[in-house]
Order: sequence, then C-alpha cells, then structure tokens
Amino acid sequence: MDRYTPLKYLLLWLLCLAVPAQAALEIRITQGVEGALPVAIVPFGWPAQVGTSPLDVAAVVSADLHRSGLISPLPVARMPERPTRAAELDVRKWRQQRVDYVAIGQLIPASGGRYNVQFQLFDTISGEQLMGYSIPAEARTLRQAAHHVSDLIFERLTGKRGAFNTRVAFVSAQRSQQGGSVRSQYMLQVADADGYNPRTIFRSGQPIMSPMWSPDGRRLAYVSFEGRRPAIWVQNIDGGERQRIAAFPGINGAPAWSPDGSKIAMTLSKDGAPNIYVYDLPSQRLIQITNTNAIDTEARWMPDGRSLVFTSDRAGSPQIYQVGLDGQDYRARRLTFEGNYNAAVSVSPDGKTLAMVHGGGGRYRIATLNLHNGNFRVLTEGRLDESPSFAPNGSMILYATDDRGRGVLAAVSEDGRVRQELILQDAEVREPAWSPFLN
Amino acid sequence: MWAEILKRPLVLLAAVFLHAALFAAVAVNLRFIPPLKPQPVQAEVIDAVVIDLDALTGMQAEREAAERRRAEAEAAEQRRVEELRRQEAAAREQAERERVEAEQRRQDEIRRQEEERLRQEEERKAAEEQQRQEEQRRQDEERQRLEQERKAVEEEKQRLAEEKQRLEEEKKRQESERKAEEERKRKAEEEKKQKAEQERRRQEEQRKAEEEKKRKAEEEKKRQEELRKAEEEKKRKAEEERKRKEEEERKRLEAERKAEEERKRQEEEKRRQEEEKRRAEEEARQKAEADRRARELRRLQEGYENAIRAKVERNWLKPPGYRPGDKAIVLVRQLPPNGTVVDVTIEMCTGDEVFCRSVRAAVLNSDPLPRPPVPEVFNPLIRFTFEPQQ
Repeated sequence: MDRYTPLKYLLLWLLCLAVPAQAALEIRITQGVEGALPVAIVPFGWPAQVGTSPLDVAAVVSADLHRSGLISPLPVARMPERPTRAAELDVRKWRQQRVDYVAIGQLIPASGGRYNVQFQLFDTISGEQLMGYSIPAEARTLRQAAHHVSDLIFERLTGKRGAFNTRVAFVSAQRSQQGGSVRSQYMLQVADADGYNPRTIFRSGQPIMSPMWSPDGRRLAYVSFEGRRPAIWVQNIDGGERQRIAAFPGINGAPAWSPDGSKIAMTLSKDGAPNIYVYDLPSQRLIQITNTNAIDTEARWMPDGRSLVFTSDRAGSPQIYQVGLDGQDYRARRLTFEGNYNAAVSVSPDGKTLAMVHGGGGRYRIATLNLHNGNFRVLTEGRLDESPSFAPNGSMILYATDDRGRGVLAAVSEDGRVRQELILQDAEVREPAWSPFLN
Repeated sequence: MWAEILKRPLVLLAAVFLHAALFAAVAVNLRFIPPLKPQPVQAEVIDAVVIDLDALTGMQAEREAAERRRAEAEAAEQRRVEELRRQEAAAREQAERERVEAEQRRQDEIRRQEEERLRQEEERKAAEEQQRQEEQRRQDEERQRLEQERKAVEEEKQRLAEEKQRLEEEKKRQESERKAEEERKRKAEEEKKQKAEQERRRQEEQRKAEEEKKRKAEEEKKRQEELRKAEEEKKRKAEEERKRKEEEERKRLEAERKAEEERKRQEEEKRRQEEEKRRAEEEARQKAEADRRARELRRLQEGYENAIRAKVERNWLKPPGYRPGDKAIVLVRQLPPNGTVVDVTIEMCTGDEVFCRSVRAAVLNSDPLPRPPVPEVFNPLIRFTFEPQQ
C-alpha cells in the first residue's frame, strides 16, 4: 500500500459524507444456507432455598427445539454466562459466540404446589427483547408448560406454529412368561410428543393396530383383534367409552378420519379383495371408493377432504395413488414412481408433501415426495423404518424404527437434518400416530 | 277274406247277431203289419198273449230260416264271385283280342300312308321337271331378244358419230375465214402507229439540244464561284494555325505549373499521414492501457462484489417458512478500509418478521465485509436485494 492510501480513503469517506446520494453498490442475494438458527436456552433460575428444581425446563425446551431441526441450541457447557434476569444479560458475549437469540427464565414456586414459568427471548443482534411470558403450571402440567415455552420460541423464530405440546398414540407389546407359556399383552398408549407421560387407554391379549386420531384430538380409531377377528373401534381418550363401527367379514383395517371428523376411510375385504371404503358417521352409510382385485389399503385424507391417498399394488408393487372423491367415478392416479415399494403414506398438514415407507436394497426407510415439484427425498437411514406420521405443523415426522431388534419410536425433521429416538419405556413400540393440535 | 274274419271273431259274431236281429225284426214286422191296420180294439186285447207266444216260436223258426238263408246267401256270394272271375277273364281275353286287331289296323294304316306319301313325291318330281324345262325355253327366247336389241343400238351409235364429224368440218372452215379478216385489220393499224412514233422522236431531239446549251452556261458560272471560295478558305486556315500554336504554348506552361503544385501537395500529404499515424499509435497505446486498467478494475470490482455476496449468502439462514416472492432491500454503510458495518437500514421487506430478521442477521453476521482489493472499487454504500430462489 502506498503512503497516500489512507489519505485516499479519508477523501473518499469525506466525499461520501458530503454526497449522501452517491450511487450504492448493488448486490443481489439469491442463495442462502439451510441451517439451524443458533440459539441459547440458558438454564432457568430456581430459588436455592426451596431445594432442587422439580424440572429442568431449559433442558426440555432445548431438546424440543433441537428435535425440530430448525433450531440449534448451544450446549450449556459452551455458554459464556448463565443469566436468569434481563439485567444480567450481556448480548455482546453471545454475539461473539455467534448466538443470534438467547432465552432466559425462572421457575418460580407459588402457593398450593403451583408454579410460574417465566421466560424472555432476546435478539442478540439488536439487543432487544422479542418476547416475555409467565405461564402458570402445576407439578402435573410442568412438562406441558415447558413444551408451551418451546412452542412460543419456535413460532417466533421460525414463523411456524410449534407442535411440541401435542401427543402421540402408539401400540406397545409386552411378552410375559406365565406358567411356561409366553403371553403377549398389547396396549394402546398415548404420550407427550417427546415420548414422556405414557398412558394406556386400551389393553388386549390380541393385537391392536393402526391407531388414528380424530381431528379434535379427543378420540382414537383403531383396529382390534379381540375375539380373534379384526374390527374397527372408536374410543374416547379421556372417558374410555368404546364403540365398534366396522366388523364385516374379512379385513376391517386402516381407519382414517376425514378432516371434518364426519367420515372414516377404511379398508374392507367383505366383497373380495381389500378395497377402500368411506364410512359416513352421521348417516352410517358406507361408500365403496376403490374396486380392484389388487390390495388397496392405508387410505389417508388430503387436508381439503376432497381426495384420498392410499397404497395399492395394482401395478404389481405397492405404490401410492390418489383418488378424488368429488364426482362419481373415483378414478385413481398414481403418485409415486421411485423404486419398487412405497407404502404407508402420511400427508403433511399443508397437503404439499407425502411421507411414506420407501423400500429398496433390502431396507425400508422414510421418504418424502414434494407434490409441487416432484422432489423425492429419503430422510432416514434405518433398516426397517415404518408408519410415518406428520407432526401437525409439518416440521417433523414420527415413525417406528428398529433399534437393535427392538421396536422404538423416532422423529426426523422434515428436511431430514435431525433424527432422534423418543425416550420410552422398555417395551416393543410400533405404529405411532401424531395427534392434531390440542388447543 | 276268411283270414281277416278269423282274426276278428267278435266282428263276425256281431255281424251274425245283427243279421239275425234284422231278420227277426223283419219277421215280426211282417207279422205285425196286419195289426197296424185299423181293427176292433177289444177283441184283440185278449189274444195278445197268444200272439206273443206265436211270435216267440215264429222267431225260433225264423232264426233257423235265417241260418239257412245265410248259407244260401254265402253260396250265392260264392257263385257271384266265381261268375265275376269268369266274366273278368272273358273281358281280359276280349280286350286282348281287340288290342291285337287294333294293332293290325294301325300297321295297315301306316303302310297305306307310306304308299300315299311315295306317290305324291313322284307326282311332285314330275311337275318340277316340266316346270324346269319350260323355264329353260323361256330364258333362251329372252336371250335372243336382247341380242337383237343390242345390235340395233350399235347401228344408231355409228350413225350419230358420222353426223358429228360432218358438223366439225363445217365449223373449221368458218374459223379460217374469220382469222384472215382479222389479220388484214391488224396490219393497217400497225402502219398508222409507226408514223406517229417517228414524228414524236424528232420533236424530242430538238428539245434536248436546247437544254444542253443552257446547262453549259450554268457550269461556267459555278466554276468561277468555286475559285473565289478556295482563295478565302486558304486565308482562314492560315489564321487558325497561328491560333492553335499560341494555345499549345499556353497549355504547356500551365501543365508545368500544375505538376509542380502536385508534387508539393503530395509531399505535404505524406508528411501529414505520417504525423497522423504516429498520433493514432500513441492514442491506441493510451487507449489499450486505459482499457487494460478498466478491465483490471472491473475484474477487481467483480471479485470484490462476489466476495461480499458470498459472505452474506454464507451467513443467511434462509428461514424455512419463506414464501416465493418474498423480497427485502437492505442498505448497508461500511467504513474503509476494513469494511466495518456501521449502519444497516431495511429499506423494504415484503416477507414476514422471521424473513426480515433473517436478512438483517445475514448482513450483521457478515460484519466486517470483505476488504476491497484496491481502494478504487470501495463503495461505502452497499444495497443488498434479497430474493431467494426455490
């Protein structure tokens, strides 16, 4: 650099002060990176004189946000400070750590075994507070309150509604040794979206299959083999009342509630081959939708309720088809053409993406098909992944997988970037179904 | 017939019984015919039983008689049948005889007809022969008649030819007389014409001699005129020659002067061109240098812009929920020489809050911006337009 360079810059600088209307350098940005937002959830404060905290709220929130794949919480060990109040926060330290957002909070015990979960979210770039909430909770609902915090932060940072405060239904099986003979016990269970707080709502010595949530999240439809014959049942989750709605000769399987809750699509083989039927709950009328000699099953509703997607092996191997319900002729259109096995479809809440089991090379993995641009993407790396089920906000997909010979539940972010097994009790777990939004 | 009857004995029995009944009825009737006639009623009532007994005995006798009559009837039937057979044989014999006789008659008739036919044939041939001879004779007579007629026509022709020859000779004679007369007239005419022609020639020669004399006087006059003209022509030519020579001299001097001028002009031109060339070369050299510098600067400028773009794009976490068409314009003020960002203004943002925050974070996380390779490409103001592509 010659000795006049600083002078030149000074002149330039003065020039740009003097002429503010100077033409700016125009740069177009069309590409970005797909990555998780760098965030820190600082461990919540808890008054030391009261003993130990009943729940590590920050840990629950961090796990939730991490599982989404869209947010990357900073490990506690790498945090430059651990403020619990806004006055203690120094955003510059977090900026140096390249953390864009910091959440701090406190768990405050209140009278009568109640708690207040207080938290604030800061933008470290601008230094301003983006949100601040105080959520009352009981000991029983403390985890729910934590999931609620996750939902609020997730929605503010991604623009998408959070689905952490929802539930999953699944079937677990236990084998017990009784007097020399092995007995299997099947349980239909409902747990929090992270797998905690499992609760059995139906128990049977015969298999239970295909649980499916009603759109209001209050009932489950499922297939039970009690009496050694399959039948479709609808059960209230809270009251426990059960009602048998289909017990035809042959197969009664794969129930799926319509978006308005008035109909249930199902697979029946009463007239020969398994075909898709729609059962209208108010009128108790049954309409046959498909009529082939192939196996048509696993129907799911598109969000507009005007068509179904389902699995059929009419072309020789299982593939996903779509059939419109407007009109009379119910013509099915094939949707998947990748590989020789695509089955067990789940529809994203916006109807733009299908998740399915994709077979190939002796493995069964979860894949998504973008219906708008046709992109087909394999998301998981398991050997026997099955029963994909979209989260109600579409950001994650719950599925059953095989972990060292044991059936467990896992969740994968919609872009496939983050995969995580759900913590569950020591049982064989299968056929998960993610609930709709519950509030 | 008996075999037929024996096959059906019941029928026989019924027939017999029927016959018996009929005969009985006839007998009773015969016996009852008298009582049908008007009689005193009282007296007859008492005898009624007796009559019945009589009738019964009568019926017995009647049955026997009927039996007898039946045997007789059968014998009669037998006889009738034999008689019929016999008659039939006689009739057949008669018929055969008649057939032979008829055949005989038919043969005779055929023979008779054949004889008749032969006879007629001979008659027809005789008549035809007579007719043919008659015809022959008639044709001969006709031929002779035609021959005579032909000869008469021939003689008439001969006569007409002779007549014609005579008429032609008469015509020739008249023609020669007419020609002699014409010849005589034509000679008289010829004589008259020759005399008139001689007179006309003489007059013509006289007229020509007069014209010759006149023409010679004319020619003399013309010759005098020409002599005068030749003298004048000579004088004019001498004058022209003198003028031409003067002109040539003048032209020669002019050409010499022009050549000198041209030489001078060319020298000047050459000097000018050389000067021009030298100047153009200098200009080109300067221009090439300037171009090279501009290109270099442009290259540096592009590299600088690319470095800034790359850094911002690397730091832009595209939010997952952005909608196609979202757009933001961010004006950044930076300080030389390190590219320290001193001010970020979002001039426009059509996306949601998450999108707008993301572009702001992208710029701020890119602080400091890349240093310019040369001070000339530095611009304190940079306007970023964020337009994500799917």
